This record gives sequence, C-alpha cells and structure tokens, in this order.
Amino acid sequence: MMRVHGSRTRFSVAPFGTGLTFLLLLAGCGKIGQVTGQTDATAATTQSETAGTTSFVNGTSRIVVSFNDETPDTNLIVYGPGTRHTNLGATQLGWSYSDDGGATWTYGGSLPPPAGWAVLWGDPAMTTSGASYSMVFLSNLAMPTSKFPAGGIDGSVITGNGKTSYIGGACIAKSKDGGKTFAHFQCVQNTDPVADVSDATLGHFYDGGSMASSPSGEVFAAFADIATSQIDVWRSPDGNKPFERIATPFPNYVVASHPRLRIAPDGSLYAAAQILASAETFYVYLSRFTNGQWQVPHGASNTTVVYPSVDFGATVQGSALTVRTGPQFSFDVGAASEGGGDAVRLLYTRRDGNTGRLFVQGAACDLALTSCGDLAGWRLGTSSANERPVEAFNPNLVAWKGFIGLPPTWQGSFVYRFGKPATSVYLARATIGYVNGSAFTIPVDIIKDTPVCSDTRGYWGDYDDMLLTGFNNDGGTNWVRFLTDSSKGCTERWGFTGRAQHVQASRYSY
Amino acid sequence: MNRIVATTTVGLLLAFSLSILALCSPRAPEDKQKVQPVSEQAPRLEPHSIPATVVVNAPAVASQGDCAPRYKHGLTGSCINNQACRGFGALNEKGQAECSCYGLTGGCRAGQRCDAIRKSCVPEEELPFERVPAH
Repeated sequence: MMRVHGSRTRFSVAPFGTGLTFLLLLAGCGKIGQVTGQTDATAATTQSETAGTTSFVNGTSRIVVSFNDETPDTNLIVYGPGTRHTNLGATQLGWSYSDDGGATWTYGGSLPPPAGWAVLWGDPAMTTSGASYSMVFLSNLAMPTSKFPAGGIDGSVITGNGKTSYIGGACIAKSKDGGKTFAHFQCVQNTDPVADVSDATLGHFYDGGSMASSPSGEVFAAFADIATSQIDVWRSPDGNKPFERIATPFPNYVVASHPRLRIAPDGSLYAAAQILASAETFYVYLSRFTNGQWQVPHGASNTTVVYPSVDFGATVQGSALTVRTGPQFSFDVGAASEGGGDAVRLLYTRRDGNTGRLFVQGAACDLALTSCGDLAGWRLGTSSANERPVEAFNPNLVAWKGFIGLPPTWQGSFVYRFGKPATSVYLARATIGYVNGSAFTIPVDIIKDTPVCSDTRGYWGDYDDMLLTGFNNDGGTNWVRFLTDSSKGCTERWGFTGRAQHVQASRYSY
Repeated sequence: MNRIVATTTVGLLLAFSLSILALCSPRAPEDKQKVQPVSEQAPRLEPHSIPATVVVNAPAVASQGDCAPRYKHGLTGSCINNQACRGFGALNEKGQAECSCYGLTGGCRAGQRCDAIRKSCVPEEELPFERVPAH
C-alpha cells in the first residue's frame, strides 16, 4: 500500500477534492504548456515521443526538445485507415525550443535525410556538450538509401525474420547555437556481417537511442542493435571529431530494450538496459565505462517488464484503447546518502503478482555498482486488488548533484492510468528520497486527466523526457516533463496514426 | 434577489481568485519540507533476486533451405537442421546448431513467432511493435 501523506495524486487523499484541485491547478497556475500543435506549422500533423536537453548560448538559457515529427511529411508519410506508405525523403527529425524556461515554445524545424540516406525515422535522443553548452546533439534512427525499396515502404519497416529492417543506422545532427538550428553531423551504422541477418552489411537494424556528454566534452550515442541483441555505443572525443564505435557494454548478454546513458559527476559513463535472464524474464543491468573499458555488468533490479502494453478497458473511435510503452526503466547518478550506497538510483516498472497491474519500483546502487537493491519506500503507483485499478509506467529519474548554495535533489516522474475503463492518463512527479532515514516519496500530480489518443497499435509516443531546466533565486530547481498531448480531441485512431497527437510540457519548481 | 445572487457570485469568484493566487504563490512544494534527497543513515537496500546465470547471446546460425515458416503479414521464421523453426538458429554449448527463441530451446509453438524486438514468443498475427495487452 502506498503511503501518501497529503499527496496530490489521484490515488491519495486530496485536500480540496480532486475536482476543485484540478480546476485550480489548470485554471490558475498555467504550468502546463503546449510545445507543439499551437497555431504554427505543427498543428496540422502529429508529434510525439520526446528527448530534450538544455543549453546556454549568448547569455540565453534554452530548453530544446526533439520529437517524432511529421510536420513536413504530409505527402511523404501517407496514412489510410489501416495503411502507411513511406516515401523517399520522409523525416521525423524535428525540434522545438524555449528561451523562457518552458513557458512558450518555438518550432525549430526539421532536417531532411542527408545524402545517402532515404528516411529519418525518429526515436530521438539529445545531449549538450559538457564542455561547450552551445553545442547540442540530436540523433534519429535512419534508413540508408541502399536499403530503401523503389516505390517506398508499405506498412511496417521491419522485414524478413524480424532482425532485418529498412532501418540501418542512425544520423546525428549538431547545433552550434544552443539548439535553435541543426545541421547534419554524421550518420553511424554497424555493417558487421551477422549469420542470420541478410541485410547486416547494409547497416544493422537500430532501435531506440540515448546520448550523453561528459564534462570534458566527450559525446556518446547508444542504440539498440536488433541484429545482434547488443547495445552499440558511439563516441566522439570532443563533439567535433567523428563518432567511432566503442566496445559494447553488455557483451554476451541478450539486450532486450533501448539503452539509457548517463554521466556521473566524476565524468564516467554509465549504461543501462533490460537484459534477458531466462525465457521471458528480464532485469535491468548497469555497466560503467572507466579508463576506456566497460566493467562487468551488474544486475540492478528485480524482474521487470519489457515494452508492456497498457489496456484502458475503453473503446475510442471504435477501437480498444491501449498504450504501448517504451523502455521501462530510468536511472541517474547523483548525491548519495551516508555510505554512498544510493549514488546510482533507478526507477523501473514491474507487474504486481497479485493484481497483474504495473507499478514503478525504486532501487539504488553504489557508484562502483558492487551492490544494488530495492528500497521499499520507493514504490509508486500501486493499488490493491480491491482498490481502483491504477497502472503506473514510463518512469523517469533525474538527479541534480548539488553545488554551493544549490542543494541536491532527485526527481522522478511516471505516467499512470487511474481506474478502468479510462480514456486518459495522469502524470505524477516525486522526490525519490528519505524521511527520517527511511526511503520515502510523495507523488504529486503535474498533469491530470489528459486524454489518450493512441493509434490502434497503441502508439502514443513510446517515451518522454524529463529535464532539470534551471534554478530559482532561493536555490530551488526548475523542471520540465514532456508528454503526448491529445487535448485537441481524438478524431482518428487508425492502424499507424492517432490524431491529435502533439507534445505538451509540465513545468514545476522544487 | 438577483442582487443577492450577484453579490454572492462575485464573492465566490473573489475567493476563488484568492485561492488561485495562494496556490500559485512562490512557496516550496509540500513534499520538499518532508522528503530529503539523501539520508544521514545508510539506506537499507533489499537485495535483488537475480539469477546467477543469464541467457548467453549465442552465435547466430543462418537459416538454410526452404523450410522456414512464413508468418502472417510477411515475416518469416528459420530453417534450421532442415526443420521449420519458429525462432532463430543459434549455436548451443556443444557448438551444434539448434532452433531457439531467446532462451526457449526449440523455438516458439505453433501459432506464434519469435519477436526480435520483444525477445520472446508472440502471437503470429502480431505485427512488430504491435503489443497486445497482457490482461
């Protein structure tokens, strides 16, 4: 049973009653803003699935967010009720930025595929150089021209035995002006032969993406390599020299999810992914890259779920409403308690053995990854069999390590479905911390009752980002958490697209 | 009567506005007063139940011959040792080719296919990236 103590989440006791609280928050505080879908070019098409970063250029603090952007694709990705035709030149690499802390957003544009590449296929990842805050990187999955069929692609981008695909690498774009504009920097692909992957030498099928940069300016990009069930990690030593592939963090393991990269305060790189332990059983594993080598991976969770689908028990536009999900874990490296055993903290999604419902569990490891464990008080979004069925998923966790006059914090967030049937979701944030030495957290809603309009596969943006965006005069921290926005209504739920889908952002101070 | 209603309405709106201002005034979130980011005591971790060994990413074996099953929606299985395989070919510990689906020796059963994204057996009719709710 979750301990709530005045929490404002729907599965708690709300002091004003949820209805009035909802009205007050929405009407009065204006902390939820539209990133896309306003009256600009993005309104007529769809955007979802976010990765963000912050930059600093010419005295301006900027928030940049990338998303699967179909703004330029009206004639390049053509949908029918059960069909999708993708033409040469389609791109989902688009971004928006905010120079006022997330209050207002400007559509930055999109990039067409570079020479030799037919399509840019989303799954964004972003980072800012740790040595030059005006240098921003943005990656997208990509289809090489050599794999692209004459006449375009009908339906799925996955072919053959499922390890082959029209996707054959990723393209990385770079901004020198803090994310206002981008230009292509480099496309990366693994062309090693693989025995049962017929198109391997044309570029392995990449999925997902994660980027990070060290204080010295090294830039890393990682992708799930479906052809090999590994994580391919690419490194540029300074953001100017090209990316080169380095050793894989989980050799001999079967990787079953997108990767996530994080940089520790000491500059070392950490990688995490969900690993296959035995048939249909998965755990989160971590590895640390120091002195040019990955250490032996270490398990950092109990059993977890891989890309679960959430059933809403409702019908919208004639089809059952479901939401498919992305990687069900998030982690960061930051301030530690006495003994240092929680310098690395994770949130990961599990399925309750009794109710069958998804919930989010917190865990921690020491910096060296020698010891990891769950913390009982960091359990989020559970409900017992007799309560209204809550399912929590898509966790994010971000650490602020602290600095003089700016105390550390750990902020988590997750999406939850409240009740069933339901046609909306809630987004909650929580400090992943302690009360009197005991692990404890109080979830607080930051977006309430926002409608869901997935396509009939369940796609509604597989993942979203959460960012520390700045500091208050009193030393408090400012945060942004992105989420798909279907508040304009659900007019279409087709096989490959749901409309409306735009991007919204919740801002809060802590 | 109308005047009383109007006065009451204005009063309620004023109270509503004041409550909004109170909610939005700069103040620390309630959980910030209670939840600390770190503890002065070493936190008590509950050890994970992680198996000592996990599935090894075995070397892949190419499908050979024309016995690979063809699934709905155009995807295919493998042909391993001249037998239809609803999975992928991999070398086992003895260095022999066998059919498996990510830890499931022999591959998936009839009506299923081995999904390279989800690393498990899924209904044959399920498209890649199309995930059927578990319940």
